[in-house]
Amino acid sequence: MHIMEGFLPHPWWEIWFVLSLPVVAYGIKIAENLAKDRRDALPLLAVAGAFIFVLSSLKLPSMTGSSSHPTGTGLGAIFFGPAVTAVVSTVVLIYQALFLAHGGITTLGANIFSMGIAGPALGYVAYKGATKLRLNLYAAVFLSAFTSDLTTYLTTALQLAMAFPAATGVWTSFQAFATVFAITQIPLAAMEGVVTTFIFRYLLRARSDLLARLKVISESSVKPMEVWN
Amino acid sequence: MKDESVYAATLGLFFALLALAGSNHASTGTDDLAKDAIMDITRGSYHPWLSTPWQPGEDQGLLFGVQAGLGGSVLGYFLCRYRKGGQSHLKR
Repeated sequence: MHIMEGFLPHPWWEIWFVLSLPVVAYGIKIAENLAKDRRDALPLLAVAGAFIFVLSSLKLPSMTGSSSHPTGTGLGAIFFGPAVTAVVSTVVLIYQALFLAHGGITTLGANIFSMGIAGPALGYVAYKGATKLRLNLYAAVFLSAFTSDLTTYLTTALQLAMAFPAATGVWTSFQAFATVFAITQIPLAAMEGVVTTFIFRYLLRARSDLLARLKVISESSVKPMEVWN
Repeated sequence: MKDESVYAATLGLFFALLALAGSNHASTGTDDLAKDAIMDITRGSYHPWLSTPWQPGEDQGLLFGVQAGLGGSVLGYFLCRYRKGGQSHLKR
């Protein structure tokens, strides 16, 4: 989903910076507060960050014959919300732009918006919505990670479509880009959902007390699970 | 500490190799396909106004491997600590 260096013309690359930077600044503030008041949550932040680092480095072949990257952002969104996830994504995107020539500095704003903001925001909403509807907790986690991954790629498709509208309009363009991204991404997003669910389960079993304090889970969503374990 | 090191090394190595294998896989990345789509739509009239100052070429797989290895090690270290110091209020 990384838009490559120089592939967003003026004024689009500036617009995405303007939209992304306030969210990243807000995320830094939340992370600072976390470091002050919730020191016990810092290892969890390291796990969520490392998870994004690992998953976004994997290039996986899909059924379509092309390959793509998972994002790993669903877990961070569930634990800490989209703004903190945007901060971690920014670090990963800068690392990849500088050292891997993957993505770019001029397209950083747009890439932060798709991977760090739009994806995690919808993933977060999916998790909160699913738990409110009293869906199975693991199903909620799967849904969140799946949504986060797929939304990221659809956002990239939209960003490219707006910058490069076809003669018949932005919609035609969006369909072209979404075809490139989304179909390859669906199996990868499902796989990411499964992996995220496994690691969530691991952390829940180790530190459900911490997840409850972070308001990731509520007593009512944990209680019925004691029966299955 | 010993357990942590084993976890960190195992997960680090596993993900580094996975990233390396994926990067060397012959399939085309969607990022490149998107570039082709841009060229299609603009009929080849768009020229990127800036390009990365260097291209890692063959070494890109290795660099993705380093990223995965670093992340995997941190992940392994903390997952091990969580396993040991669990304070879950769920029944085990």
